Amino acid sequence: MKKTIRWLSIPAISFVAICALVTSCAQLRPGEDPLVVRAEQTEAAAKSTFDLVLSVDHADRGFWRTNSPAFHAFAEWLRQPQVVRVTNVLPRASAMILSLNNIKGEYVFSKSYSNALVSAIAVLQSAATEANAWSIIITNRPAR
Amino acid sequence: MNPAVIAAMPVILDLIAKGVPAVIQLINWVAAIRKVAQQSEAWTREMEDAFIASLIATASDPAYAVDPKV
Repeated sequence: MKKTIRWLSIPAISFVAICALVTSCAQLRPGEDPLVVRAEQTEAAAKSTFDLVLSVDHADRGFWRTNSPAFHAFAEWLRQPQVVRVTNVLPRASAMILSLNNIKGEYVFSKSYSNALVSAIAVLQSAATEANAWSIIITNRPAR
Repeated sequence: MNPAVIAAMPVILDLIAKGVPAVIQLINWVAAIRKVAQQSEAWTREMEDAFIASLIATASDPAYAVDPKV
């Protein structure tokens, strides 16, 4: 299996996959609010990224705590309980996404405060970007 | 789409090709990002509810639980 994967050149796989991803990026349907769709895309991408980072850290917490304390600390930061909607407690990763979702809901309802929505998207994107960076760092290893 | 996600994609695909330890999670991530990239309209009520439910469910997900205090 590994020999088959090596036989296919890595740049070729990457190129095809990127083409498939980019060319399959759909354009917005007429009448759709780009800010709302952008917010939802950000929420879904952030959820997937946080899932990835936290599941990798959870697979062997002791290992990461010892060998990559900064990564484990970031994962723990994402896990810190936060109070949302007055009575619920959620991990910070989910609370940040839910916060953006709430602001999106207010924007859809009122069609104003777009600045607040843009800011909330930027905040979540920055956390997801950091998680993305960690996902690259911690899943990498020297070539054999 | 977040430019950082697109920028990360070649590296992630390279890692998948190398078969790194977390390869299954990486493949799931790429599949999820592809789905996100194809979104062309606002979520339906059902999709919104399902997404919120998945967020609420993280409260009891072991991967989302903080380290136990010793």
